[in-house]
Amino acid sequence: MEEMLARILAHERLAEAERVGYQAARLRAARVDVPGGSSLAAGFLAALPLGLASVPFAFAYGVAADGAGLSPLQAVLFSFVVYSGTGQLVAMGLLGAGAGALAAAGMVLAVSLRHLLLGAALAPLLGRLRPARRLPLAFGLSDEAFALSVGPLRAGGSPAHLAGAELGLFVTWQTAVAAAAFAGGAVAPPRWLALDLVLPLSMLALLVLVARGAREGAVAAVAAAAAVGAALLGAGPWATLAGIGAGALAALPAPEVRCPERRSPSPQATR
Amino acid sequence: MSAWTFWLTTLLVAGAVFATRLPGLLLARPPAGPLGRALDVVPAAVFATLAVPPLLLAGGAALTLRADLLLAGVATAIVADASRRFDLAVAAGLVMAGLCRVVGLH
Repeated sequence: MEEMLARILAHERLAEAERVGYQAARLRAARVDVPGGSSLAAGFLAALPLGLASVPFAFAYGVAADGAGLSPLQAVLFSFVVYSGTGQLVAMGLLGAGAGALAAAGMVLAVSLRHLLLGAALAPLLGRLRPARRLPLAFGLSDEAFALSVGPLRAGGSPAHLAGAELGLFVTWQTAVAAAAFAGGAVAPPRWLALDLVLPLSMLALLVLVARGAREGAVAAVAAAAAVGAALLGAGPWATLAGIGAGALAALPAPEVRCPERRSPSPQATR
Repeated sequence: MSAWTFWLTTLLVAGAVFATRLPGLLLARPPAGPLGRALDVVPAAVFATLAVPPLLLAGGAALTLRADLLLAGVATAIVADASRRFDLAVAAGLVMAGLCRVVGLH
C-alpha cells in the first residue's frame, strides 16, 4: 500500500515538473526584447514617454468632472482613489447625465473586465511574489503598464519593472489630471503635437516588436478586426474587451506555431 | 456634489475597478491547456485592440481613414520593423502626424 502511494506521489511530482517545465519553455519561447531593462527605475523611465499619452485624456476627464459637478479638488481625489482613465471618464459621463453611484460603479466594472485577462496573463510571470505584494501591483494595473512590462517579464525580468512602470504612469496621469482639473479645461495641448496619438502609436510599435509568428499575427488581426467591428456597431468602451476576447478565443483551436527567430534588436533597444 | 455622495461614489467605483484587477494577478499557478494558450496571446491582442481602432476610427464610431493617422501608423510600423527600436518608431509616427497636421493633411 505504501509503495503504491509512493508511486502515485512520484507520478504526480513528475507530472507537475513536466507541467512547470512546459510552462517555462513556453515563456522562454515567447522571450522578447523591448526597451527598458528590468529594474524599477527602468520601468519608471519607460513609462514617462507613454505617460504623455494621458494628457489629452486627462483634459477630457477634467471637463467631464466639471460637468458632473465635482470641484477641482474632488476631481483630483477621485482620480487618486479610482485610478482608471477609462473608468473615470465613464463614471463622470454617467454622473453628469444624472446616473447614480451604483449605476456608475456597475458600468465601470463592466468596462474594466479586460483587466481580469491582463492580470491572469501577468500572474505566471510574477514568480513567487507574495499575494500581499501583488495588491499594490493590482491597484496600478493598466493597459499601458501591461504593455510596457510584459516583454521584460517574459524575458525573465523582475516584477520591479512592472512596479516602476505603474508608478511612472500613476505620476504622469495624476499630474496631468491635476493640471486639467485646476485649469478647468481652458488650456489644451496643440493638435500638431499629436499627443492624442502617443498611445495608439506606442501600442502599434510594441505589436510590431513583440508579436512573433503566424499565430500571434493572426490573433492580432482578429483582435483588431473585432475591436473595430464592435466600435462600428456602437459598443463604445466594450470594443476593447471584445477585441481582446476575440483574439484570445482565436488562439484556442490552433497549436502554437512560431516562425523562425527574427533578427535581434539593436543594443540601444534593449538597454 | 455633497461630500457624502462624492465619497460613496468614489469608493464604489474604486471597488469596481479593483475587483477586476486583483483576481487575475492572484492566480497561484499558470493556467495550462486552452486557457494557457489564450492567455499567452493576450499581449498581442491588447496591443492590436489599443492600436488599430484609434487609427482607423479616430475615436468615433465610423471609419474615418484620416491621412495623418494612417501615415503615422505606417511610419511607426515601418520604423519599428526596420530599427527594432520602440522610441524611434513612436517618434517617427508622431513626427509624421505632426507634419501632416501642419500642412493640413488630415
